[in-house]
Parts: sequence; structure tokens; C-alpha cells
Amino acid sequence: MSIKQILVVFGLLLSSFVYSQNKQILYGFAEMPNTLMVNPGAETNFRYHGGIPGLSGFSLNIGTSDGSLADLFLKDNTPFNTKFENLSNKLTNRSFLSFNAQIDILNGGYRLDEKTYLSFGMYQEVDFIGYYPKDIVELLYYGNQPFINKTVHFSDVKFRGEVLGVIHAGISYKMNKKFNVGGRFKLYSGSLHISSNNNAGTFSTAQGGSNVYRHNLTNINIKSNSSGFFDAEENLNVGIKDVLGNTLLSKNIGVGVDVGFTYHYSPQIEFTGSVLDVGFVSYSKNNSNLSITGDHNFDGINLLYDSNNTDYWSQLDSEFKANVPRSTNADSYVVWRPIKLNGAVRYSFGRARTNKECYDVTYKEYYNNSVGLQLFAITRPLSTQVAATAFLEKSISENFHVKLTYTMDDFSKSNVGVGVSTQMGIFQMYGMFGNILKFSNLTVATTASMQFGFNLIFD
Amino acid sequence: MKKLKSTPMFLIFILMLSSCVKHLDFSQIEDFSPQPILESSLVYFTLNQVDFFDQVNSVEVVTPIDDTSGFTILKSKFVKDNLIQTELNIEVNNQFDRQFTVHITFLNENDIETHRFDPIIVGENDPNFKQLETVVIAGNEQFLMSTKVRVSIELSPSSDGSVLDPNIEQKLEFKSSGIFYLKT
Repeated sequence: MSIKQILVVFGLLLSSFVYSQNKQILYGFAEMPNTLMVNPGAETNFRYHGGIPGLSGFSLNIGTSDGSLADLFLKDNTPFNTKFENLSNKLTNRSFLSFNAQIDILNGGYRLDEKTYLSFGMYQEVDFIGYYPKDIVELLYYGNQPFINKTVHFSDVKFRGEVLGVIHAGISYKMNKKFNVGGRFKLYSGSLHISSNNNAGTFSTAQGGSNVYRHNLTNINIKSNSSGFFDAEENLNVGIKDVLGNTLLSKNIGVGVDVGFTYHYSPQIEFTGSVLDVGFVSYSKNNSNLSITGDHNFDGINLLYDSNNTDYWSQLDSEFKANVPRSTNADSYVVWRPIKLNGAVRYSFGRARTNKECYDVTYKEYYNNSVGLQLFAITRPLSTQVAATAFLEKSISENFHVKLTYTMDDFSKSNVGVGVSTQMGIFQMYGMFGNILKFSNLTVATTASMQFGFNLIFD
Repeated sequence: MKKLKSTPMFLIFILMLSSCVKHLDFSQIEDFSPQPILESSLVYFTLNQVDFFDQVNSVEVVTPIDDTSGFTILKSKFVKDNLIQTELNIEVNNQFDRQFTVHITFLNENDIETHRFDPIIVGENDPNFKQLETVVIAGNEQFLMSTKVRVSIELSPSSDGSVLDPNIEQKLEFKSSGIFYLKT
């Protein structure tokens, strides 16, 4: 890959849409089946449900921590290089893009008894997070001339991405009138994985030494793992057919669990919480792991003017390889999944009705309005990312519900979202839009989202 | 089943690509052209009076002494394709009371000359001699075939007929760096 291609990829990724894992509108909304995927301890009150294959759950969250598509691609007369330089100046080594897409392939559920609801299915997930390696990108873009007597840090290189399939089965169980708990077992099938994290070391070009400059590689410790990208001959070999095929029972197997609860403190006050994806995947197929370690200083070629016909370059090359050894292997490795936490408190008010369905043993009161707060957190390589959401939910009728959200996170401090859920007979559908204030011109938005799903629900 | 599995991912990419592009022009990416400038140390050496004195015959070495080293930067296809200009920065500390002439010649794999700078004259007792030599690739494409550099040093005779005293410490320190201008 050329320097141009590398920089284009960085630029595109950082300025294009990214997906986060926060499903703030879906969480706890209208007791839909899909809420079980973000809280296995969510309450349900239907006999069974079946998702329409491929369409039962689709979510798209879009955002950038810094920058937008318009920064690079707006139609104006600014040279593209200038736009790239302006964007890079705006970004820091804490700027990131995160990309997550989950899509239900199959989703269903069945009420075992009054207290127990089972759900199961399969979904595919694409997950990526990469921090902007500002020093490295600018070293490639400008060369080392602007970095004379400055230090370039390899610790800025932090990224992780994977494509996997998840087969899952969960249970939501009513302990008593106040307390509902749930859990979900997940079997992961890894298709692609690549990561590099906890890197260390610096590169510098300093005036002085035996020559005009001394180039220093100091405390280098760079490691990366990948699975599914390279064949036995270490050639890049990624086919979409294999990528999708391996999301169903590949050799890269892992397990994980989700747990969650719903607690009714009073008829009007409810607490919920969940922990998702506590688990790991063991990657063993088509692995390629890289390690580079060591220290090296380079002053140039020291001519000796003796009669030995010294092969100076070979000597330097051997010295470099001895001082900074590079090794690769295909060893298996284990990757922990990013853990997500959700928590919410809800206060319901307004007109009440009771006993929505015969399966609802709580005989709880259903109010047509509620407000509350939600918190979301996800473990990420540099730090845990957190989002806070305030919401207002209103039931227009028994079968038509609306939820308004206001979310603050790394992407935006003014993200207003709206979701609707409706049921006609057994046919239930929902649609949600985040950052609606910027929907008229997404090119300058740092975040936007859309979710929809179709289910068949049998009361 | 295969069709069902591929449909959702397909939808995601369609949505990504079809969203909100009316004010944007993605073809601008064709104009993206990084122009990195790389600076690197090249050859260096320190010679003293003994290197220019034939101790067997007790006479000065009046013929040029030279040494050659290989280098690989111009073997890189990326550099070959994108290099537009190179500058060679030379810094010399001449403690001798003699003038030196430096000949820098670039050679290909078969030791055939690919480029040569004009002789560089370093005056006597000059501790801060500096010179910048430039190679513009357009018109000097042969330079890109260079894999070796030869540096010859020639001691000029004294104007008063005196000869070097091998017991009196004198040094010639030579340093060099290259500046490589790339346009991708």
C-alpha cells in the first residue's frame, strides 16, 4: 500500500460516517422484542415473536469524534491537500472513529410460562475502532523535515476491528412482581480480526551525533494480530464470500454472556441495567501476528578509507535487523469483546391502565408518559467511552409509541433523536432517527443515526 | 440462506454510500497529492594526517584516496516513481592548512557512473565549510539508477613546498545529509 493510499484511507475513515454501539433510542423502548438484545432482563408481554429474517433489527449510528464529510469533500475551490491539512490540524491522537453495525439475521422468542420468556437468534456484527495516529500520518504526509528534533510516538497506533457472527439464546425471568432478570448466552464465530494496541517506542531525527543527523528508534515495541486477512503465503486474501461464510461456525470460536435486570422501585419508578458481551473469541484460522522490538541509532555510512572493501550497507542492514528484529507467526490468540454497559432510571406518569396482557404477572400499571435518564459505556483501547441520554417516551395509543432522546457523547453534545413503534395486528415495526436537527444536511453533521426493524408479535 | 445473510450487510453499504452526497464531490480525492520531504544522514568520515602520508616512503599521498558504499533508497519503487529532486548537504571541518578537492560520484550496480557533482573545493583551515548540491530528476533520470556512492578526497600540495608532519594531529571531518523531495 502506497503512502497515498494509506493517507487516503485515514482521511476517508476519519471524515466519513462511523457507527457507535449506543442504541439509546431502542433501549427500553415500548417493550419491543428487540429491547431484549440490549437488556436481556427487559420485560416482555407477548406469547412469542419472530423477526422478519434480515430485517428484524437494523441499526445505523453515524458520527465522528472530530470532523465531517464536508471537511474533505465539500464542493468548493479549496485544494484537497489544504482540506486534508486543515482536518489533520483539527484532529488529535485522541480523535477516533468507531464503527459498529449489528444486524439480525434471525430473531425469535417463545414464552415458556408466565414468568419465562426465551429468545434466540443470530446476528452479524462489524466492529472497528481506530485512533488517529497523528504523528505517523503527518510524518508520512510531510516527511521527517518538519519533525527534526521532534519525537514521533508509535504508541499513537491503536486500532481494532473484527467481523463476526453471533448465535445466541436468552432467557428473561420474572422473579417477582418487582424484579425481572435475564441472561443471554452467545456463541461467537470470528471471521476477521485485526488489532494493534499497547505499542511503544519513538522515532526521532536529531541534529548531532557523528553526522549531520542522528536517526533514533528508541524502545520500539510494536505488535499486531490479525486473523482471516492473510493466506499461508502471507498474501492478503479477503473475499466477501468467505468473510460472510465464516460468521457461521468458523474455526474462530468464542463464548460470551449478556445479563440484565428490570426493577420496579414503585409503580412509577423503574431501574434497568445490562452488561453485554462479557466474553472472548479465540482466533486460530489464517492468523498473522507481527512483532517489532528494539533500539537503533543511525548516523549514516561511516567510510573508513581502508583497503578492506567493506560492504558498508550490508553491515548497516545486518546491524539494523539485529537491533530491531521483526518476527511473524501464526499463533492462536484470544481477544476479549468490547463490554457494553447500560443503565437507566424511568419515571412514568399520566393516564394509567393495568394488565396490558395476560402474560404480565406484575399487573403493573402502564402509563402513557415517562421520562428518564440512560447511561451507556463501552470499553475501548484508549479509555472507556460514555454517553448520557435524557428521554421522554409517550404512548399515543396502546399500539403507537414515541420516544424523544437527547444524548451527549464524544460525537456530539446536541444529539436529539426520535423513535416510533407501532403494531398493527401481529405486525410490529419501529423506526428511529438520531441527530434529527442535522438531518437536513448530514454532510456537516458529526453524528446521525437510523434504526428500524420489523417483527411478527403474537400476544 | 446465503442470500439472507448477505442482504443486511449489502444494505448497510448501500445506505453508507447513498447518504447525503449532493453537496459533496468525492472525485476531489484524485487531487490528493502528499509532498513529503525526507532528510537523512548519508556518508561521513574523519581522516587525519596519517591518511595522507605514506609512512614507508615518507612522502605525502598526492593521488586521491577514495571509498565507495552501496545504498538502497533509490531501489525503492516508491522513491523511484515519486522523487522529483534531491539535495546533498555537505559540511566539512578542515583543520589542515591545505586545500582539499572532494569528488562525489554516483554509480549503478555495474559501477557505471550515473551522476557526478562538480569537484568541491574545501579551503585550508575552514572549520565550517558548507555546500548544497542539487539534482533535479527531470533531465537526470539516470540518477535514479544509482546504488553506490564514491567519495574521493584529494590533498592539494602546499604552496611553499612543505610536507605534512605525520606527528602533528590534523583532521578532516566530512558530514553529509540528503534532502529528498517527493511528490505522490
